[in-house]
Amino acid sequence: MRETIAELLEIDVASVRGEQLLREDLGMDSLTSLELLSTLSREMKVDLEMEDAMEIVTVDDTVRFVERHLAC
Amino acid sequence: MDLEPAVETEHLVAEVDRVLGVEVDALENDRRGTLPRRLLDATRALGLFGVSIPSEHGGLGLDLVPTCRLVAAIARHDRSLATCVGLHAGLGATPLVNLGTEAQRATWLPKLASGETIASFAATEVGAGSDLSSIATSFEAHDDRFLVRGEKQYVTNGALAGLVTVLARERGSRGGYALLAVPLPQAEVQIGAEEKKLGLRASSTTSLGFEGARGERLGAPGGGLHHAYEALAVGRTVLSAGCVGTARRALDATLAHVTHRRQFRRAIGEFGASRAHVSAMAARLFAMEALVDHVAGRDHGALGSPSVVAKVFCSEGANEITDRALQLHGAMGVLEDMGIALLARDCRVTRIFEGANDVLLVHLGSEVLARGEAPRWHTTGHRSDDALAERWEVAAGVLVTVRQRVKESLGVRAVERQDCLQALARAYVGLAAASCAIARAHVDADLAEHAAKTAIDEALSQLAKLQRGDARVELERAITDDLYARGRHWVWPSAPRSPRKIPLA
Repeated sequence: MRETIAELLEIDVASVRGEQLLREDLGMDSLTSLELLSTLSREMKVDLEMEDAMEIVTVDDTVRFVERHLAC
Repeated sequence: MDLEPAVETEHLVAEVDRVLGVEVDALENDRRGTLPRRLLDATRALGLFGVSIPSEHGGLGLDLVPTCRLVAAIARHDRSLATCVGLHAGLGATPLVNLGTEAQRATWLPKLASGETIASFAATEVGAGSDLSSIATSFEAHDDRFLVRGEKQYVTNGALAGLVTVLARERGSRGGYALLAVPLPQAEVQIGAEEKKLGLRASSTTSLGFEGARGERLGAPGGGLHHAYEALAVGRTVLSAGCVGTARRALDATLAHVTHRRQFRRAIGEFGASRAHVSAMAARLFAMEALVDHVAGRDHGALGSPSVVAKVFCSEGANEITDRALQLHGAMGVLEDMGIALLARDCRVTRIFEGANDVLLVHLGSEVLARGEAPRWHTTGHRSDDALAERWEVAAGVLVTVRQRVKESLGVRAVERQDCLQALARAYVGLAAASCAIARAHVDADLAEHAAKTAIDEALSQLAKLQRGDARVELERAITDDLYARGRHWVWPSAPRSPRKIPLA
């Protein structure tokens, strides 16, 4: 997951940490958040809703979000 | 004299017109590539550097609506001066006014209000244009001191500024962003040479290099990017007002020209083709003014998307209007001494800076896709606008339907289709402009009708393109893949060879 975020933002994967806020610390905006969701949707082969982006605030949130969907 | 705000603004605009009408020689400023000291002093004397600064700190304490009116008035005379003042009042002063501590405000705002200190804003870098999150400029915190390192580009007011607000990223730690107020001059800040530009040549644009420069943080830790976006929303609104001023100047010059210039025994303005140009210019300007007034009247915290709408519509409108003005001036239009070419050159960059329109439309499109509401910014109530309002409602219904279909067919992956996002955004911009024009139908029913119908038609055209599924996306990909692969080995396509030889005479 950290790799996906690092790739999307074109930053060093080592600089992505669980507690980081996607917006304030990593500079994601509403569009990048949706792009992340779209990437996850493609990689996990599941349909995600735009409203799901509201759930994802930190890097750890993203990991939990993916784990929950994979468990379904 | 204690006047109503609107009346006070009208008095100020009249005074700006009177003084700048004497002091400004925009063509000469453009040729020299600088704003003369005497003009800056006159601007200071008018109090224009203090328009957005609270009155308790020596400014005029005006809201964004009158600030925009004044910036538009300045732009009618010289867009470079309007850019200098607009940047100072908008992006430059806003972070300090909204986020500064009492001590920071007390130290800097009186100087900004008087124009003794000119403000600037530095965000763009070599590797960070529209994508501000990728900035490399960093800062380190040492107790309450902040040291800034990095290089910023395209800094408006760069060589004039006594205070620059810098967007930077914290070195180490969580890497959060911050806005830092950096006073100038200081030995740790290198000011680059003036950039040679297509337009706005009298406005200062330089790079700024920071080598451990001292600064103070504005606002909460980690909130830098959010604060920068809020300031940019104010800046885009002020920029839109500048576009109104340039467009007004172009229309005024065109009216004078087409009513005096005679061809084929008639004033050229009497020809239908000219009337089509002039009426389109006036209607677009009408919608631009209505849109800027509406957006500027919103709370600063709610300016985000509306400021994008205003910026896209007004920058494209100013370019369209100056282009039509140039066309109607004929060959004279391209002569620099006529001043029309300067208007066209000055407004070209407005489609690029403070967010390239192409990128802004993608962002706006993603918001339209996520939210799905039509921009109903007018209220009905005037008999003359009923038919227009009905027309608007039909188009708004199409937007909501098409957006829903895109969402259902592509899901969240729609964000990867920039063509869809831009079309949705353009439809939204058209409907917002039409809505604001309709709200002004009581001012001029004909202009409102022309403006609203044109904007609604544009919106429907974009939505129709989305509905029928435009096959050009694949074509565009194929063409560009080929071009990128072939690089410079492009050759002029040969005509098919003739099957028989043609004998030379």
